[in-house]
Amino acid sequence: MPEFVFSPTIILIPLLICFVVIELGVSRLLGRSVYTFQDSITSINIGIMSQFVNATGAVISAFMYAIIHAKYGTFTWDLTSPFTWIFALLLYDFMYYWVHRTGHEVNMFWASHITHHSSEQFNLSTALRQASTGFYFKWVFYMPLAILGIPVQVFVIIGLIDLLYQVWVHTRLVGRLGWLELFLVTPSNHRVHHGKNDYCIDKNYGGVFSVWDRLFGTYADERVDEPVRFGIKTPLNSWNPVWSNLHYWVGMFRKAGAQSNWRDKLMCFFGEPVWVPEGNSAGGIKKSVLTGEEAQEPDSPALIRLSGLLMTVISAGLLVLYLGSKQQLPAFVQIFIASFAVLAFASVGLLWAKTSRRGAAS
Amino acid sequence: MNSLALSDGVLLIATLAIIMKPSASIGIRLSAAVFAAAAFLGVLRFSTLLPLPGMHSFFSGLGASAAYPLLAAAFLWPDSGVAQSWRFASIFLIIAGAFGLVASALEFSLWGNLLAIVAVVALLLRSMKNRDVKATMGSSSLLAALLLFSSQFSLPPVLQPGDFLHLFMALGLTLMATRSLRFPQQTAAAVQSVNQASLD
Repeated sequence: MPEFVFSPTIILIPLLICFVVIELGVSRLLGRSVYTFQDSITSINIGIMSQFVNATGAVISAFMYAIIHAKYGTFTWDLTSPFTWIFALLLYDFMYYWVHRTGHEVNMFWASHITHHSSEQFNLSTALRQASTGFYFKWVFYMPLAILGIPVQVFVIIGLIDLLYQVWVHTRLVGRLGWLELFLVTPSNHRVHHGKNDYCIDKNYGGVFSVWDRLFGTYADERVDEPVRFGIKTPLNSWNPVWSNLHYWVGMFRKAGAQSNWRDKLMCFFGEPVWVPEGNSAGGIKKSVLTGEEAQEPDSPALIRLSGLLMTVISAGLLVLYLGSKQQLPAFVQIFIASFAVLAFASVGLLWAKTSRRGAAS
Repeated sequence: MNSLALSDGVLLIATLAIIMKPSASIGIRLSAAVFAAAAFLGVLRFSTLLPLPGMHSFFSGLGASAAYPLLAAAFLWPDSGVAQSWRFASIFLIIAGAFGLVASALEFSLWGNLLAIVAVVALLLRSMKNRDVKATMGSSSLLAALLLFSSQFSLPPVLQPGDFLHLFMALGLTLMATRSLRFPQQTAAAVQSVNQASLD
């Protein structure tokens, strides 16, 4: 039996789920509806699945960082100095801005990041809706920190702080925060980031600080006269965590396959998500077309809903066990467990889709 | 101040001249910027003003695995997005740089050298095919720089292997960049077409 080892992620998983429950309770007390059952469960399932998959991805990122740091790390940093931590946070957040911006403005990176934006709701569970496919490119952007010699432990802790900060801004229960809006990412300006209104598109990429957006012209304030509509312009319309990760990839490859020349094929991957081939207005998945459809909360039977909830609770528990013991598990066992988790989530998604269709048909 | 600092200084001046030349394509200017960063760090390192050997070898590696291929791509396809737009040139540089970093992490040091040689040979073949004397001289100079450096050729006590790399690179890049001015097909229409594609 492998020994259980605690890590920050293990403590965070139940904590984050508790935050979701607290926000749900507060919203009920305030008489505001900010949660829908299947959307929230799907968000949490997507988050749990991403942790199963990214447990390996995170190792790759940390491995690359450690190697590049050892090979090229230029300066020595004093871990006891506040300057080290402040500088590292600022640089990390600056690089995060570019990772995030690239994730929105380059199609093959948007294919990963779209998962996070696919919810029509905006609450703390949306923060957990993270892509399982993003790890393959994000690490590159943080290499300047490694080259400057920022120690691995500082990089990991700052990364965690940056990530944790971004959880609480996914809420509709907090309004504008006055002068803090000037330099921090807040729930108000992050709502704009998740909006599909025209004025919200490709805005507010910051992680902790909004100054990068102001500096590079991508900042937009939340408008009082135009409520933010959340989600993506072509709604996902699926509760399947696997499909939410893959749907855009499938569309992108189909679109590329349909192009007759290499330039257009490459543009499908490296162009902006709004790109369509010359003379073709119906290219594929477009960010610019607002269909007007909103994903509806399908009327699944209570038992089926309960099964989804049960699956989420069980898989969260399994994830904690997996993360606690994975270092002692052989690589093939890790891959097996991650694949099993993906299949399990896919089956819940399929089950929900089937019952939703049946419900809609009846 | 030793010869390496001086020859890196020459390379720095040559690359800065290319960066500031508005008529050179964006792909070429961006690859020159990577070489310029490496050369600047080389000047600091070899003159002992501010030795940052880690950073210098990082940018040198980036030059081999990403800037040479970018330079070749920008010359071989002068009307492409990689040659004409900051967006695609940067994406090319980041992706090629990522592969270079992975190769470096896996101790596959041949990767950067191999890419640089392939890129320069491609430039040479295209130049010869086009019967372009200046471009042929420029790419030959770049090839000589790589070959002399990898064979560790030196003329002690005057010139070290790194000097040949820096000086032949400076000569080669200058000739290639001047050559790029003579591409009649790099028209405003081509630039406009790429920009339009990004905006659509």
